[in-house]
Amino acid sequence: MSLIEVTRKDLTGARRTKSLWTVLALLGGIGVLFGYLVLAGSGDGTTDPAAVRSTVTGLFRGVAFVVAAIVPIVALTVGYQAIAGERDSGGMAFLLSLPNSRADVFFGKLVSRMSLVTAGVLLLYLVVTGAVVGDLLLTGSPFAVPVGVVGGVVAGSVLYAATFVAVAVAVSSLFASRRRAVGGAIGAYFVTVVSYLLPGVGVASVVRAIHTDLLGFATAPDLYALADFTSPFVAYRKLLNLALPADTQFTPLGSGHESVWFLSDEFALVVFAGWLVLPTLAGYVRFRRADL
Amino acid sequence: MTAIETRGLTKRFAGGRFGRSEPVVAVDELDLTVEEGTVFGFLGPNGAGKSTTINLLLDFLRPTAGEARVFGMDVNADHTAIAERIGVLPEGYGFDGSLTAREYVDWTVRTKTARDDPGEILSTVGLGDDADRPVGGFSTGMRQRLAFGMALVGDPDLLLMDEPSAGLDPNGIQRIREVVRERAANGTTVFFSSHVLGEVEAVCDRVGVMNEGELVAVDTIDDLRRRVGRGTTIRVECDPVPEPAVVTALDGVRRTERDDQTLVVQCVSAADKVGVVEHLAGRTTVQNILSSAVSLERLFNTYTEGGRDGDGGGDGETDDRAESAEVSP
Repeated sequence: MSLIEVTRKDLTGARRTKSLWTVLALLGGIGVLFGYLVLAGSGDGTTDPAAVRSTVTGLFRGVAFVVAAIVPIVALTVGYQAIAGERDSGGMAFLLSLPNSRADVFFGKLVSRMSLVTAGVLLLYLVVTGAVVGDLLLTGSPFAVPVGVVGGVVAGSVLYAATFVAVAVAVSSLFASRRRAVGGAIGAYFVTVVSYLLPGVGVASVVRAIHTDLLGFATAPDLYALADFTSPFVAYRKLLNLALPADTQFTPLGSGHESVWFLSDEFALVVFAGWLVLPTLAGYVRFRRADL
Repeated sequence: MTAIETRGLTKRFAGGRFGRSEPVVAVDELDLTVEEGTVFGFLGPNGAGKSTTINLLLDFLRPTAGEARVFGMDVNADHTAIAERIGVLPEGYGFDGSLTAREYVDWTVRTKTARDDPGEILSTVGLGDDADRPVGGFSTGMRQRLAFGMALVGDPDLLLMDEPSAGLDPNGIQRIREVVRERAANGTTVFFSSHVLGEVEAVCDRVGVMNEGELVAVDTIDDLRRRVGRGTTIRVECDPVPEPAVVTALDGVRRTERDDQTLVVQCVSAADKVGVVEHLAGRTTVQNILSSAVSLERLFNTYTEGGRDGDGGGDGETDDRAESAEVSP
């Protein structure tokens, strides 16, 4: 498997770049910040396990929200030069002169960059978890950590981060120069994040306008909600609902859609599968055919 | 068995958008055969299509038409199987400056599942003392040595090199030449492109000349010379100078002129020059011998008419002198 050698070499190079350590420091720093808040806000040494559970849940819910805002930028930054950078610098000439298939190169890079971002996300949660455990031990509170919530939030964050890396590497595979890849990364950020947030001209609004004004259909709120659901940020919150207790659930699509299967929390997995697979496939197919 | 074979291989590049550049036929229905065990020099001026051909063989580029095979395998479908058996010094490569020379060779060894000792490879190319330095601090010549070293990993059956002497100092060129000769002697097929003519002449069994995407000549260097028709020239200083007719009658002599104390004899091939000298030595005192071959430069110009620059063939006189070698009697 020369894919592993592609990954290994990429990681060796990444380990020696300043930007990787900056990114890891940023994520670790956020973890430290939350950890500090945990430790500073404690002290009363509550004896009620339910109260502890609820506090820790609230904390992880809050961290997850911050992760949602930062991870797209981090993941796009880590991934957008994965392929374009090699084409620009001439590293591709060596990669493909050796017994590496284009699949080895593409997916080797994807695995490498995904593991870097995953490591960063895990580092962040590790620091927060460490602070929580330390706090509980120091204050002698009951050790009532909601493991399901913590595990669910961490897993959800990793999946969320992975989709952005997939998009970043896919976009990277479309460009032969570093400079153009920057434009590609900005475009990817616009499509995956900004386009859902634009008031009045966001994805859902555009779908509604096309559906009703252009095609002349009667309004279909479920359809527009689905359009909103394709946002990784919306899908992320719906995904976290699977781990969060009922009273702390997110309702990114508003209420009233609970009975529609394609607007259920579980459907978030389908949305993420789509974001992982479709750009990756499109990027790989383009890369496989490209003149390098 | 053939190492490299192309049939009707064609690569067209589309013109740039908004008419910024014309579409180009970089390789035009190329039929090329390189037999195993030969050292094949791929000559041509810049833009002749040499690199495009090599990049097609490496599957970096996809042909517009035609097909290419390496060791009988399709360059696209069997890319990795081919890559297992060849060593490549590609065009336009670049290193990640943070990795060391040893790490690069090590990576090559592992990717090819070869058994080479990276230190040994690096010594072979003269980088033994720089093995553990990051490549970022390497000069162009050192990078070229490293790239060449990586091509040697796994004792490939075919060395495929694009301008191997680019950026190298004379020592480096000498070192590469020696290694190539050594590998060729052990049965490795060598295919390399160059516009440095002396280098091709020094190591190649066969030469292909590319011009504007087409192969305009394939032959041994001697035969190419013969076909260019000027043959090879010898200037013999003698005292007394005999009549030109004395040697003109000899086999393989085309033309003889007298130039002061010197007899200028044009022969068909290099071997004929020996006969001329021997013949003269029996009749007069030979004082000095000046031998010169048709330079590849001129050969090149004859076939390519100056390539895409289109400045026509040189007259070759100066080239002759540049390539002449003095032989003491």
